[in-house]
Parts: sequence; structure tokens; C-alpha cells
Amino acid sequence: MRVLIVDDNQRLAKLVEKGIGARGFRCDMAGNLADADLALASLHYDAVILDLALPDGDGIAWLRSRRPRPDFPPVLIVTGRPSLEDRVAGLDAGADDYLVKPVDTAEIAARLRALLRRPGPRSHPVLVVGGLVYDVAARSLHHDAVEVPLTQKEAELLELLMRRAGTVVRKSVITDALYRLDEEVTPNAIEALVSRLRQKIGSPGGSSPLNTVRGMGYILRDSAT
Amino acid sequence: MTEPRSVVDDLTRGLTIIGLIGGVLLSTELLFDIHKWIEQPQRHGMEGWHPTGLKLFVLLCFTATIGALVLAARRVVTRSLAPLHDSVGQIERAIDAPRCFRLDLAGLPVEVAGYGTAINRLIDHLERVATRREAFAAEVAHELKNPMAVLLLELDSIGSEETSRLKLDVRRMSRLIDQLLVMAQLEAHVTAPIKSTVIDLAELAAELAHTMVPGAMDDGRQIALKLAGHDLFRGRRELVWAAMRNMVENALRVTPPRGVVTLTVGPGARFGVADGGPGLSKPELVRMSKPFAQARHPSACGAGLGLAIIDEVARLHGGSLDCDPARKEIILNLSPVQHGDEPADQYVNVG
Repeated sequence: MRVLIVDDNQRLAKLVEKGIGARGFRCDMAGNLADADLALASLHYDAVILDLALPDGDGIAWLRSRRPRPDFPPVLIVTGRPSLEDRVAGLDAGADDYLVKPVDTAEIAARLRALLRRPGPRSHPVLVVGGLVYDVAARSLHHDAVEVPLTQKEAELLELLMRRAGTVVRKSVITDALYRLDEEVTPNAIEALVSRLRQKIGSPGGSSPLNTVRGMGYILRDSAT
Repeated sequence: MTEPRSVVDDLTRGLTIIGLIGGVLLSTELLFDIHKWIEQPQRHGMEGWHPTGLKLFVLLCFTATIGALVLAARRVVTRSLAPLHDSVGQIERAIDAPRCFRLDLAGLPVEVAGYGTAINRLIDHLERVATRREAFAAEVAHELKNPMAVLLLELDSIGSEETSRLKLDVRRMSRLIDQLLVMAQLEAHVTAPIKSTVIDLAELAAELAHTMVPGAMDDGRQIALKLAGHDLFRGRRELVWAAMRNMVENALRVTPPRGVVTLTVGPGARFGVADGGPGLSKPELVRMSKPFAQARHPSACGAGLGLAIIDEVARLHGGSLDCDPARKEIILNLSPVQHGDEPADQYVNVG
């Protein structure tokens, strides 16, 4: 998987390259927005890591103008700006995720993997989270190389959670994704479904990667960092 | 726009009119030839008047005329200076005003207009200084963040038991920089107020939980969200967000592994964070709300500016920072606004 790192701090960019390179990402570096444009025009990238303060302009304005292109790769902003305003502006401009420096490579790699699992033109046909391997087309799940049979609803829920692994998926999002508008859904239905799925993907005696966040929803933890 | 008034013109005009009226009245009284009244009252239709009574009557006429003139003069002076009192009132009310304040020069007399302009220029200058200071703090924070990011990644690449402790230190320093940045914003707000918007505490709390749950879970802590009927709240979103974030960070720090941090929104404009730590008494809370307070309480270790920020943000919004030691909860009370006061601005839901 090829990633473009857009950051004017060479040393930082090289450290990120080294760190996520060891986790299976091939990286190229661009020190400014013009170089980033050049790289994106000549090569296919699976994701972009973008700093916001660059010598030839602001990353947010650049992203806003480039994002509408249909083949533009998903973008992870990694910046020193911690404010809510910047975060909201970044996500509004079309970034898929936002991390505040300082951040370690394990976290960058986890967020990149999450981006690559999202649905889109380059959506991966096989999703991998920890020991779980899910084939989207065949709707088949392997847990530590052992096939686990799933019902249709369980499979849909698992795909949703895997595509957003590492972030909280709200109950309302699950209800909207899994049930038709005219279908009657009780809150217990989702809980029961999650509970069944949790039993199927939990390690015997170990903890399940599928956790409940009370008052919000569920999170499938991506612990393979 | 009306012509600017002049205190000198007003006084001259008013006092001239009073002088003229007084002169006319006194001349009229003299024309009656008062001495003749007293000596030959019967010739002036004033028979039956005792001479002393007549003298007193004349004295009274003079006193009343002079008294009326003095009162009239006083009124002229007060009226001429009234715009000055109005401006003092304006300035005093502006101290707590949410919007950027400028003295209204339209009603000011010409003698004072220059003074008013000078005050407005001073306010301009203070605002510029505050904004520059904030921008400078942001710049410093950004400049410091890059070497810290490099440091963290270098430690990452060494990857031993010791480096994970050092990485924790780098994260603490980074947090302190974020807090200093918020402090700079709070200080700048005093002279260059930040615009307020209608915000939804539940939305902010959900967004906050959203960003913090993954990290908390990696450290073995849970975050739960409870909605207990909340109001829209008028405030500075960035500062409220910073306060809420500091509350949750503090709570996560004092909560032991496998513990739960519960965020409660409502009732009203209230945000509470209950943690699994030892709890905090009210006197401790007050003491630790001072910047860099050193308490022997575990919450103080590494709290840095956290509670001071929360306290200042609460105060700024006409609210208060409180605690419920029994429930181990820290509470941010804010002022609710009327519904429909102003439409809530757009908020992105990163769901």
C-alpha cells in the first residue's frame, strides 16, 4: 500500500516513513503542496498523510480544492493544531481523519488501516482487523484462520464495524444501516445481535474485540498495532 | 447625523439666556421703585402693609429671582455635561460586554470627542496586542509541537521499556502546551472577546467521547455517556470544548484500569464527569483551580492548568465549577439560553 506523506519537516516525514514502513506501507514524501500535486498526478496512492502548515500554502484550502476529484485518495491530517475549530475545518474540507502531533507510528498506522477499510472506489474486498479476516464479496469470516458462520444481519453488522474499526459506531448508525425504514427495530434487537456477534468473534477465555460504549454505541478494537 | 455639540456653546447659550431673563426681572422690580412703595404704600395701592412686611416681601422677591436663576444655571451645566456621564456609563457597562466595545462618538460634545477617539484607539491597540499574543502563543505551540513529534517518533523507533515512559512524558508536555494555548485564548478574550455561538452540549460531549474512547480503551478505561435533558447553551465553543476535554483527561488519569468515566450532559446547561478516582472535596477543588496548584491529591499530579482552565471557562460563561465528592463527579455549570434566541450554527457530526 502506497502512502504520500506531505510534511515540510523532513526529519519528521522520514521518521513516519520508517515507522509505518515497518508496518507494511510504502511511502513517498512531498515537502510542499506543489510536490504533492506532482506526486499525486504521476502515481497511484492509497492514502495521503497531510500536515496543515506548509511553505506554499494551507493544507485545508488545498484539500478542499482537490477533494472533489473522484479518484482522490483518503486523507489523514496529522498536524500540531489541537483546536476543535481546526479539526472541524479539516474534516469539513474532506479529510477522513484528524490526528494531533505528537503522535506515534502505531496510531498513524492504525488510522491508515481504518481509512483503507472505508467503502469507496478503492474499497478493499477483504477487511482485516486483528485476527478477523472478512471477505466482503463472499460474506465469509475467518477468525484466526478458522471459518466462523454468520447470519446475514451479523455479517452486515460486522462489515460496518470492521470498516470503522477503532472508532465508535453509534447505535443510530447501525439501525440505519441494517434495517429498512419500515422495519420495526427495538433497542434490544441491536443489543441481542451485537451480543451474538461478540460471542462468535471472541477468543475462548479472552476478551472480545467488540466493546460496548455506554450511551453511544459500539467499537471494534483494532489491537493489531 | 446631528452636528456634534459643544459644552462651551451650550454653557454660553444657557447662561446668556438666564442672564437676560434675570436682568429683565430685576430691572422690572427696580422700575416699580421699591423705595416709594415702602415710604408711601397707600399711593401704590399697598395700604395696610406694615413697613417691615413690605421690606420682607421685597427681599423675598429678590431671593426667589436669584434662587430661580441659580437653579436654571445649574440645570444648564448639568445638561451640557450629560453626554460625559452617558459615556462613563457606556464604558462601565462594556467591561462585561460580550462584543467588542467602542465608545459611541455620535452623542459626544466636541471638547470630549478627541478624548473619546483616543480611548477607542487605546481599545484598538489592546485588542491588537491581545490578538498578537494569542497568535504568538499558537505559533510557539506549533513550533514546539514539531520537535516533540520528532522526539516521540525517535523514541518509537528505539522501542524499549524505558522509551514508553519517556513517550508518556512527551505526551504530558504536549498536553501542557495545549493548555497554555487555551490559557492564552482565555487571556486574550478579556481584551478581544471571542464571538459566542449557540452550542449543543450533548453534541460536544458525543464528539469528545468519540475522539477519546479509542485511546481510553487502549489504556483499559471505559467512557460512558449519559444524556439527562439538556438545554442549548450560548458560549465560546472552542473554550467550552477545551474545558470539557480537560475534565475528561483529568478523569481518565485518576481512574484505575478497568474503571469507567461517565460523562453526563444535563439537566440544563450542565456537564458532569464522574471518575473512578478517590474523589475531590470542595476545598481541594478550590485550591487546585489555581494555575499549577500543587496538592497531595493524585488528581493534581500532572493536572497542570486543567482545573484552572475549567474554572476560568465556567466563570467566563457566568457559570461555576463544582464537585460532588459522593459521586466523585466534577461539574461544569453554564448559563442556559432561551430557545430560538439565535439559530445554532452549523456543526459537523463526525459520526
